[in-house]
Amino acid sequence: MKRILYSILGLLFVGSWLSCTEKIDTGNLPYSQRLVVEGMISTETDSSYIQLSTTLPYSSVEAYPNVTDASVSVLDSNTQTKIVFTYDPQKKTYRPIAGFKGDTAHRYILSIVKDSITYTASSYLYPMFQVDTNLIQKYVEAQFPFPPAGYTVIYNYFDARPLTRYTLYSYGFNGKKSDYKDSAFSNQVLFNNSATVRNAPASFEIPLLRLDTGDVVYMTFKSIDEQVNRYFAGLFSQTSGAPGPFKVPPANLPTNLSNGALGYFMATDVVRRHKKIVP
Amino acid sequence: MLSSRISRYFLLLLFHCIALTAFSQKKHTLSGSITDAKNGEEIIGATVYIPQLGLGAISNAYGYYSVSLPPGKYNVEFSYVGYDKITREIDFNSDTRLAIELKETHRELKEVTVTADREEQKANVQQNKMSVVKIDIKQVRKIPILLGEVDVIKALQLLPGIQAAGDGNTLSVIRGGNIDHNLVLLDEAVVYNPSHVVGIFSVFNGDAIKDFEIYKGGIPAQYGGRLSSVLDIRMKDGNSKQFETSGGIGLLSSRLNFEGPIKKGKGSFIVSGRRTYFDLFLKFSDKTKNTQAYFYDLNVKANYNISAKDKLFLSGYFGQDRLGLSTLLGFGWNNTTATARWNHLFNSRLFSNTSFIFSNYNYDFDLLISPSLSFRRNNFIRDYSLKSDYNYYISPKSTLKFGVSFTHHTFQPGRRIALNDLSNNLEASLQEKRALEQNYYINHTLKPSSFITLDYGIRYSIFSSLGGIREYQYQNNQTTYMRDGVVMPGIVTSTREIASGLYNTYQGFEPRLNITFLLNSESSIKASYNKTYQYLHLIQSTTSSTGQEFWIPSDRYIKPQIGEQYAMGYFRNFMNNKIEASVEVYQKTMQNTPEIIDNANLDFTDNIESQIKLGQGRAMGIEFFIRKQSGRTTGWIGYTLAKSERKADGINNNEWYAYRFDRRHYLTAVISHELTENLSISGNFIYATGNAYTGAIGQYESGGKTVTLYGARNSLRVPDYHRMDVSLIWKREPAKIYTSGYRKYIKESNWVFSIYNVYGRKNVYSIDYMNDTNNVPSVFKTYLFTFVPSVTYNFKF
Repeated sequence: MKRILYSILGLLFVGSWLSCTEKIDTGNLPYSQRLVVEGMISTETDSSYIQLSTTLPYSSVEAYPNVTDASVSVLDSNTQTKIVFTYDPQKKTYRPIAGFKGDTAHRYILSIVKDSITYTASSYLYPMFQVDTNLIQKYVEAQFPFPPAGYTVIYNYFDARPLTRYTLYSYGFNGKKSDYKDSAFSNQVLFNNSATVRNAPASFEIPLLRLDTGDVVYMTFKSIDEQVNRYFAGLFSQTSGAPGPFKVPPANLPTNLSNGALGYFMATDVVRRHKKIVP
Repeated sequence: MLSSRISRYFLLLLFHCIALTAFSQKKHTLSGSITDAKNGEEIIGATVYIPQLGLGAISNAYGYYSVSLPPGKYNVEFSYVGYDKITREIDFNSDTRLAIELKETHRELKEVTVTADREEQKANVQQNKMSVVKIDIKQVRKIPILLGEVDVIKALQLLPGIQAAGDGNTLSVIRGGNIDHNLVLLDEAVVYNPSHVVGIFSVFNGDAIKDFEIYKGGIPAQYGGRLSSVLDIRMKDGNSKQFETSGGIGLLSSRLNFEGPIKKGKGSFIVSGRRTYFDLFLKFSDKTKNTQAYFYDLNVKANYNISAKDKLFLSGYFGQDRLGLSTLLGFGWNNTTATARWNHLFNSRLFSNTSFIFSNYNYDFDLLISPSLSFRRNNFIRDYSLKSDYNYYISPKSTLKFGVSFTHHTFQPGRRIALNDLSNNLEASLQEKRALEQNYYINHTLKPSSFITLDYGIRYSIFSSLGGIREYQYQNNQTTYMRDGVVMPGIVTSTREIASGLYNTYQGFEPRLNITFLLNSESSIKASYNKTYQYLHLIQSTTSSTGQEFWIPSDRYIKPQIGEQYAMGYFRNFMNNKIEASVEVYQKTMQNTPEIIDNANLDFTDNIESQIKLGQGRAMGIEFFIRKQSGRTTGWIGYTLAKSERKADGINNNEWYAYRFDRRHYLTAVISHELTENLSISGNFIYATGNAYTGAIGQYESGGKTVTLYGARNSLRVPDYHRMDVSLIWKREPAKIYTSGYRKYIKESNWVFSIYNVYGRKNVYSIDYMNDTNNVPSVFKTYLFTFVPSVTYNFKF
């Protein structure tokens, strides 16, 4: 998307007076450190985690400091079971006991105590829609100015869920996240089933991704609730890198965490698919 | 309560004064039209003055004047800036019609013209208008503008109190109002987006414009619908004396203008077009052949005198912008306006104008990512209006204006149209909303003594939503709610079908007042008050105008914006009225200003009210202005000291914050000097405090991305803005030099050489947060247009 938008801007401001960018100094505003949470309760076994860190001053080049001394637990409000998360120094995240996985249609409530301050968040674990296990490949000729010729991948799905359900969809290939910078939507897409086909078979093609023979494409579908969807929508628009007039007004991201913590806590049903491109 | 009391007093005063002035002594009426002797164009704002009585009149928007006098013999003067004054001795025994043709002042005579006795030169002091600026279109043509394009709006942005929303931005911020608080009219039709090329140029072709005037305050009762200003642009009627072709060839675009009489003395027409040709060159390369990058516009107008008392006008505007790659994505927008007007003279004192007006603004965004993802996103606003305005010239001391208008609005905030069969399932549409707006006004101009002029009136506006839609219902009846101090979109609980017909009506009285106390022939004190309602709101999701913004109506959840402005000024002329100066102070309050909540989802959202918080605004300032309009050297200097703030519950901790286009200081200087008869130079300079922006205070990581943590809203300032532009105009009259070849047909021509941003100041266009080359998080500015030279050739056959 960034490249497309820059292309348009380039068309606008031709010649020697093209738009340019230059570093400037600005005034300082008061800053205080805040807790940052990245947490997930997943329907995949041993995938749930809570990662805690803190903010840094804007111009800092230090690594984001991990928080290792917090007390973290998650309550399954359907069963009233408290799941304690302990810090795993190897994975640098808080983890529940081995073998834990979340259940769909359950609400999970996160509780973090750090420096005598309690931070909480709540997330509902909605089920995902059905995605065919077989992905379809299709060869596409090059388009000007991009994407180049190659294989595109299509998945078939059936969404019987009620309105409105949200999905965080991401894809990558060859065992890593895509670094295909020309993607119109980066490699993560937020779906809202009020804008897609429901209660009927449908298909979706990965936008602008072109693959070669032998590449393996991976897709991950995560159901998310409305508040988490709002967080990711804000994250994507604030970090899109859209230039000049296409940029959205700056704003701090919404969060489902209390007491001034930043980040998100999500409960999610995860569906994964992959396909190797064959001649 | 106070407002309704003020409205009641206004009405009482109005009827009392009209009764007093209407039934005075027996009088005869001198009336007629004032036109340009060269081309028959009606002159708006020309002065008719009777020195014996110290009274006069001003020609209206159609060049018509009317003045009632006691029987007797008078010398009547007709004058207008840049034209020779005409004096006629008239013996009044009965009503008299007199058509006057004014001749443009010959260049060589300018310096010897004695200006002290010219009434129009005293207008700054004597006319009961404040916060109103008029620039002669000839002056605008001299002002150096980006790439040599003559641009009315860019010229206006060089005046105090009128600021560009950003570098290369047509949208204006007037006295601290929002960018949608400005009513832009072209031959009475509303132009919803006056921008070409995402705001770099305005849609108004200088060749087709006869006259324009902007009201920053003291807005007369005949105008309404916006809180901050009215820009009233009138198109040329066309040369009624002879056929004429003119045009210009510039770096960016070319213009062609054709005008002439339909039937001599009966009517005239004008067709004026402009198009960029940058994209034509792109087609020569395989790599760029699919690129779309152009704009064009077309102005057409015709008028015809049906009888001595009736005249018809038809005018239209169509403009289109298109940018993108035809095989992948593109966006564009167009404005269309059409106006049919009928001028009718009931008698020499009662003049009417009835208009049928169409206006449409349409925006498209095409995405052709894959066969199953190819669609057009479209939004539009469309108006049909019928209005009737009346001028009743009771006496030279008393004029009544009244009228009525009805407008049917249609709003389509968004729809997706499939661009092929595989994308059919993407077709969707947000609800199309409709509304009916009615306005009634009456305005009385009264001169109770030689040193006081009053202009007071009242406007009554009614805005009704039209049913046949689905209305969202919210938890606790709240379209937004607070969570941890942050405004969140309200939770929809159900929807309610609204039956067709009128529902949810807003209405209000809008009192208007202008008063002038003449201290002496060279100085006056003026004051004004106006209250305005705005029922239409612009929703803008990006930091600048890209055309993606859309208009929405007031409805049950989105209340009308209400503005009040108080202004006072001291006006003084110097050097026999050659130099005019003024100081104005103003204070403005705005209620129900729509503030988009943080991280709003404006992308195809049907219940847009859940993404908006109604807030309030306040602005105040002092404006200094000094101008010289005649002689070899003309120009002005303007300075504004101002402050504009906003506040809304749940935003910025409920505290006031600077409006993003707030500028504390705004200094402009414009100068033109005629070096010789054929050579003139012009220059302008702007200095402005940097716009407010929201600064970064911290950073954190989330989802593998670095997220910026922002501080208080709009609490920092970008570096100050300043720029200087210069131009040189070299005029020629080839027909006087050449006796053969095509040049003998060219009556006039000129070359315009201009440089925009002479010293290459890198003014901030936008602020970005990203890592520098050493991977240190830093603040970057994006800037446009450093040192842009251009050349334009203009000609007239």
